[in-house]
Amino acid sequence: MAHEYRPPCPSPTSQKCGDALFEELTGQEMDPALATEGRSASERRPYRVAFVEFDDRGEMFDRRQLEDAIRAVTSAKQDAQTLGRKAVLAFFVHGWKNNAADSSGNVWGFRQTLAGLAKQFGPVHTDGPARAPVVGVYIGWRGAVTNLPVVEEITFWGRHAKSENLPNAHMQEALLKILQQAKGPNYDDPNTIAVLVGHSFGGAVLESALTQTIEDKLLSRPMQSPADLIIFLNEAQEATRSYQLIDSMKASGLQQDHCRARLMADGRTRRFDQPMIVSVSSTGDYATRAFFPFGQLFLRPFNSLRHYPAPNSLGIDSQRPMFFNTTAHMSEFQSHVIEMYHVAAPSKSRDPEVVRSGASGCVPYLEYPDPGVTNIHYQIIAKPGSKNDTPYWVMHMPPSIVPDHSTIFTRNFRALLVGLICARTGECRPTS
Amino acid sequence: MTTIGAVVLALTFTVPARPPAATSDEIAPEQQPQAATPSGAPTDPFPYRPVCESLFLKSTWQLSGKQTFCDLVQNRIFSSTAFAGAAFAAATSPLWEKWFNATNEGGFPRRLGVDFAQNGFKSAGGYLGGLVFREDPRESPPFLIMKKVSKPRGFWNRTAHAVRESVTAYHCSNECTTAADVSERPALSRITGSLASGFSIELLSADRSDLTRRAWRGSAAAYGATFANSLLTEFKPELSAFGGRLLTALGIR
Repeated sequence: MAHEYRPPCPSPTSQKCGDALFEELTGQEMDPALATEGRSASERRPYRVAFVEFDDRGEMFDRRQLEDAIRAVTSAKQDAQTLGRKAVLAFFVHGWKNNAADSSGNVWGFRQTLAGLAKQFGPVHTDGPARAPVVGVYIGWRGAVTNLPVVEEITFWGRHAKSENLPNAHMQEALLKILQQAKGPNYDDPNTIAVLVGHSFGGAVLESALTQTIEDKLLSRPMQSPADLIIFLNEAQEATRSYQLIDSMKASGLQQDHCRARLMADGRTRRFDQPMIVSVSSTGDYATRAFFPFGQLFLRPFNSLRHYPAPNSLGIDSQRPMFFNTTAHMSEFQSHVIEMYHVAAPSKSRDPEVVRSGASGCVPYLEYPDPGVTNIHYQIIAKPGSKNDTPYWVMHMPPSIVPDHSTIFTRNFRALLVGLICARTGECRPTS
Repeated sequence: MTTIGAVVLALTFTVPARPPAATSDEIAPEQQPQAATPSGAPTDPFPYRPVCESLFLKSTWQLSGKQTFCDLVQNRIFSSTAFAGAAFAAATSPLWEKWFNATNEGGFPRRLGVDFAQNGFKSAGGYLGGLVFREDPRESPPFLIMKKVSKPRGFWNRTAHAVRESVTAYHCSNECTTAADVSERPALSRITGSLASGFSIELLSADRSDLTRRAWRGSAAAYGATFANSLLTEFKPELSAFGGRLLTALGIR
C-alpha cells in the first residue's frame, strides 16, 4: 500500500487530537507564486486538515474521524477568535480517480489550497504559539480503484454508481454536524466562513447531500444558506437534478438581479445579490462535456424521459438534453460568464455575450488579475437574457483557469476561489 | 514474457482499496504508534509526498531524475492519451496508406502495436535528448512565472507563439531563484524524439523496402505532430467553443 500519512493522534480519545491535526506545509515548490515571493524564507502557512472517509456503501469507515474533524473545526474557531479573525472552513468532496490516500493528487492539491487560504486568511506572522484559523475537511471515498491507463477510464460507470451510494444518512450527518459546528445550529454564525467544494462525482454527491437541507431552508425567510459558498466544480451529474433545485428556488421567489448591485439601506453602498451555489465547469473539461453524454447513452434505455407540454422554467422542452448533459455545460442553465480579457485592449477580446451584457447595463460581479500573466484579467458578469435568475449560479470557465477535468488545483482556480469568497463575504485581504 | 509484463504493469498501477480504520486482524495506519513524532507535535507531511503524482510533476519547481522518468512512463508512454492516439492512428492509417500509396502494415492489432511502439520510441528519444541537452520536459514549467510572461493577442501573434513554443524548451540553472536562471533554448529533444520515432520502423516494419527514406519521412511527420499539438493547445479555448456550438447545431446537446 502507498504510504499513508495521517496526522499524529496520541490516542483516539485524546482531547489533544484536534490540535494534533495541525499541519504545516513547508515545500515551497508546492506553489510557484508563493515560491517566487520568498523561496528562501522559512515562511509557514499553518492550517488544519481532517479526513472523513466513506466506503462503497456510503458508510463512514470510522466515526472517530468525524469527531476529529469537529474538534479541528472547534480549534480553528478558537484560534480565529484569539487572532481576531474569521475562521475559514473548506470542505471538499473529491471525484473520480481519487481517494483519501496520500498517493492521491487531490489530497495534496487540497493541502495546497488550504496553504493558500491560510496565506490569505491566516495570521500575518506566527510569532508565539502557532494559530491556524483555516481548517479543511476532506471527504474520501473509493473514487479510484486502479491507475492502469485505459482501464481506469472504464471505471466510470462503476464509480458513478458507487458515488450515488454516498449521499445517505452518514454523509448528511457528517456534513451537517461539521457545518453546524462551524456556522452554528442555524448556520448563521458570521465569525466562520464555510466553503463547500465538490469536484466531478464529488459535486454530484455534495449536491444530493445538500438538496434536502436547502429545500428545508427555502421555506424560511430570510433564507439562510447552510454555507457561505457551495461550489460544484466540473460536476459530473446530469442536469435534471440541478434543474429541480433551480426550479424550486424560482418557485420560492428567490429571483435575483444578477446584473446590478442593489443600493443598501445606508443609501451609499451597493451590494450584489450573492450566490448560494456556483456550478462552474471548464470548457476544456471534455470528460463532462463529451465523455459524460457518451456514458449516458448506455443508461438511456433504462430511463424514461418525457417531453414537457410547454417549455419548463428554463425554457427547455424535454428532459432529454438535461439527462445527457451536465448542468454547467447547458447554455439554458448558465447565468453568468467568466471572461478572460487583455488589459491593454479589452474591447478587442470581448466575448459577444459580455458585450451584450455590458450594453444592457450589467456591471461585473467580480474582476481580478491573472496571478501568473501580467496582461490578463478575468471578470464574472451576468449572462444577458438568462432565465436562471436564482442564487444557483451556473457558468463556464476558460481552460486557463482549469485546463481539463482533473487538473483543478491550479493557481488560477485558487485565485477564483479567493475572489469568490471575497466577493461573497466581504473578507478580502491582500496576500502580501 | 508478455504475461509477466502485464502482471507487473497491473501491480504498478493498481490502487489498493482504502482499508477500514480498524479490523480484527490489522491495525489501521492512523492507530499505529507515531514513534518518530513527538506526542501531539505537528508533523510536516511534505517529505512523504508522492513525487510522481501528476500534481507534483506539474508543480515541482525543478524535476528530479526520478520525476523525469516518471513523467516519461506515466504521461508519455503508458498514458491513456498515447493509447487513444495509437488507436486513432491505427484506425485511420488505411486512408493515409491509400492516399500516399504507402505500405500496408497489416491488420488493426498490428498497426495499433506499431503505432503505440513508435510513440514509445518518440517519447524515449525525447527523454534521452532532454537529459543530454538539459531541457525541462514540460512545455510550461512552473519556474516560468519568474519571467512575468504576457499572453500574445491576435491570430498571427498567437500562431507565432505556438510555433515558437514547439521549437523551444526551457532550463533553469543554479538554485533557480531568479528570472536570470531561466534560459530558453532550441528544443533538440523534440528532434531526437522525432528521429527515434521515424527510425523505429527499422525495427518495427515488416516491409524492408526503402527503409531509410520512410524513416526520414516518419521523422518529419513526427516532428510535424509537435507543431500541430502546439497549435491545438494555443487555440484550445476557441476550438472548445466551436465544438460546443457544432454539437448544439447538430442537436446533440
